[in-house]
Amino acid sequence: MGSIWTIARHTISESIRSKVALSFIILLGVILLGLPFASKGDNTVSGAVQAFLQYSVTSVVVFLSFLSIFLAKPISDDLSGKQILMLMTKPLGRWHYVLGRWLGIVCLNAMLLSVGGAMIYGLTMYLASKPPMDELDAKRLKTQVLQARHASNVITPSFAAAANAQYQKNVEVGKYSGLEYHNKTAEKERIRTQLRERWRVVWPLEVRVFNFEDVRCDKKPETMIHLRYAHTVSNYPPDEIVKYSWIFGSQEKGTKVYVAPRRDYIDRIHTVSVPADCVAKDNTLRVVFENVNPYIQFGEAQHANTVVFKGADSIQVFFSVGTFGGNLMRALGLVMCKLAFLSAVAVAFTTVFSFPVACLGAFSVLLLASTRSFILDSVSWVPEEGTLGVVQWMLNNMIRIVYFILPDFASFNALELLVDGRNITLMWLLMGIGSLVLIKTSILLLAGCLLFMRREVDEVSF
Amino acid sequence: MAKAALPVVQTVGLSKTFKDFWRRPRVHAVKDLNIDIQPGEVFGLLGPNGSGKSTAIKMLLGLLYPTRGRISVFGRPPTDVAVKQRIGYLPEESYLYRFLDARETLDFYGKLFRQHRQVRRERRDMLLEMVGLQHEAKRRIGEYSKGMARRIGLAQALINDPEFLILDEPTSGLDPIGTRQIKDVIRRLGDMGKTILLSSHLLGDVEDVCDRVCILYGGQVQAEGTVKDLLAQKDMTQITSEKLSPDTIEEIKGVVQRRESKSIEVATPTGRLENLFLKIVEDAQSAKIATSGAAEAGAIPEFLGTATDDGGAVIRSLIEAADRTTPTEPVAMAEKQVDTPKPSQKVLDALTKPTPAESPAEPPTSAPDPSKLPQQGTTQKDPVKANRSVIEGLLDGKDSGDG
Repeated sequence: MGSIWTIARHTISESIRSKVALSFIILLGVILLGLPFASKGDNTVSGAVQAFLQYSVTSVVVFLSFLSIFLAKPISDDLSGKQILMLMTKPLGRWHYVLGRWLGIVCLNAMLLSVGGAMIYGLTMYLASKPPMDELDAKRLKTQVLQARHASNVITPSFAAAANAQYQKNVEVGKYSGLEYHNKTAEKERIRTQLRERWRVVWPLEVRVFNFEDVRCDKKPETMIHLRYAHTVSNYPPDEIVKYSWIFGSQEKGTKVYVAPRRDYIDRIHTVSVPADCVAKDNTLRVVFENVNPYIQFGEAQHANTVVFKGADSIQVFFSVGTFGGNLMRALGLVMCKLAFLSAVAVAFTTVFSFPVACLGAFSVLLLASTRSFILDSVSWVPEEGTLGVVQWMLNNMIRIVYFILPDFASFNALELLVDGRNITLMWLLMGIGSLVLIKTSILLLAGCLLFMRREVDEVSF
Repeated sequence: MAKAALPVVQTVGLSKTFKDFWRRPRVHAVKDLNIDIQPGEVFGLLGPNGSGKSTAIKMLLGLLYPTRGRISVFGRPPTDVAVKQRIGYLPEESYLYRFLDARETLDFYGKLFRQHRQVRRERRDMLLEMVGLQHEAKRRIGEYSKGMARRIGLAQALINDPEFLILDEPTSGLDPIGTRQIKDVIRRLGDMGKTILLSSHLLGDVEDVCDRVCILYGGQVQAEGTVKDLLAQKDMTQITSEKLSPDTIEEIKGVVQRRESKSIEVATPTGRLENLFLKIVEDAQSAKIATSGAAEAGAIPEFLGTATDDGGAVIRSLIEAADRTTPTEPVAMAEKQVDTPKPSQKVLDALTKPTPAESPAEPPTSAPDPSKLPQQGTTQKDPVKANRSVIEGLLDGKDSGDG
């Protein structure tokens, strides 16, 4: 371990003194310091803070990702400049050297990420200290941005039995007779999905009960929970406003009950905040939606509108589980996992290839890892018939094998949650450490060590 | 029966073939090399550029892998990390980190040997003094001259007090005084019992310090033996005397002509430019004339063994010895050459002619014992199988790079 640490410290020292690293660091510092003055968002303080978080974290991720790749250059320099001859004649195993170089890059990344994170935190607090545009802005900043909120999705009924019954009924009426191809399971699933979607449709004067579980918040009246929802309607009224009520709590479970009558614009995200003592002791929450349309006004029925909540996450309950600082740290922790992986890619490639080739390879990995779902979706659409079928089949499987090895960076992207003030869980971070660092990075480093141990470190000139 | 000491280095049938991208054999750099280096020996590896010296050394260090054959260093494979704890290596160029200064460089390599901080600092300071860079210790290596870089390269090779020191062209890029200092250090380390492998194409360097040499050409051993055996000119006699009067010289010539039917050449010897240069620098250092280069070399650090003298004193003694020998340089008496020797033979003769100034430890050459001289017309069995044509080829070489 001593030798590894010696090489790691040497890497840090070398990188700090190299102009490439220094220019990256200075540029990143300038961008971070300049962003608060450039971030306007929607001209509210909360919007400016969100825009700053979005751009600053993205800048840090992009700069440090590039830097992680460039910091592998000393390995290439050691080989081309033959400093490796001096190192490999010392009691230093080749795997010590590879791990030391990687550790040095990771430590430097960790240092820079810490400095970047501290700057982001400080500048966020500076922006947040500016006078808000109005009370809503101040409330939004406090409850929806500088927060670590956990989101609970509404529990949707299974509808399995209903789907079965509906399918049987369809068979009996001969709905599927005469069809060339009919998949029983797929049809049942289609019916089930349809029933679920219908369940999220609330007809006029209808009442829907939405239940939430695992609402582990502090159930004091001074603590607020937030219901966030988005809806659309079957018919657009002229003023684009619908009226309905939300009723929070359950008398059966001994909680407080709060009624929140609303008049909301259609197709927008709305939030209703209520005290947390409406949550039951078993961490369940009952929320009733009452579609009071049509309502009588001036003796006439108004807009008999059906309210539609699209998607499982169209109704969520948010409650605070941590601080913005903790959330930022966990978000940066996930970034660090990606940087550790990228550093391993760069180190492993540089032990085998010249720096330009290694650089190109590492950038390709970064690109592929960042666009995994897009590319996998693309290959799944490639037809596998005709003359090119075999080639397409091979290509598809090759890409799938590559993605079996490569991680999905998007699945560890916490930026959206951070900006939205949503909790980045410790479990997610641990999954990132496990998947990106302990498995994928270890495999890469092992490969890098094995390849470096096999190669001759000197090219002899005659 | 006493058990024979294990050779520090042993190679058996060592071969290295470099291949091209398509794995086709391109160059046979080393062919069937068999060498043993015994503990405490200063072993010279001689050869022109491309003779396979550096390739052989790099295989000994585990930097290149043999195509065929076997290597053991201290009885273990050269890739064994534990073996490297006992080795010091100075490559043909000092491949050091340009952004580090001399202290940081030695500190870094010391850390790789897991030396305690206190030990590391002590050794670092002693080695910097030994190579005369104590006043330039805070300058970046990138700002060093080639000679200064060689000095710090030597210092890093000694940081671990190695049992086995491998020096590849150690005097390359050094000025004469630096060359003399390095050679002196090598000689002193040899005296302290270190095993040294010295690779060079500078014949004078090897001749000055090595106990045994191996001459490589085309990747194969052409000659191997002690320097004395390889260089002995058994068909020549040399008589050295104080200045003689012309009459005496004529009389000697007559005696030789009468008894041996041979002619002799008489010449007044000249001093060596190296000695003159060393003396001038020595005087300048005494006068404390400012210089940005390396300072006078200091003592050999105690951790390397028992140092009985400092390098500067040794150099001074060498210069004094050289000065003393100047008026008494030998009057060479040689057989009259029937044929005009080839140019290469002339160079060979000039280089292999014993010069007292170059070996001050040796007593002045006296008239050889006739009983030990080979008889004319008889052949003496040479203990060393030296291929003279190869040596001539080496001396013809105009290369000054690495082998």
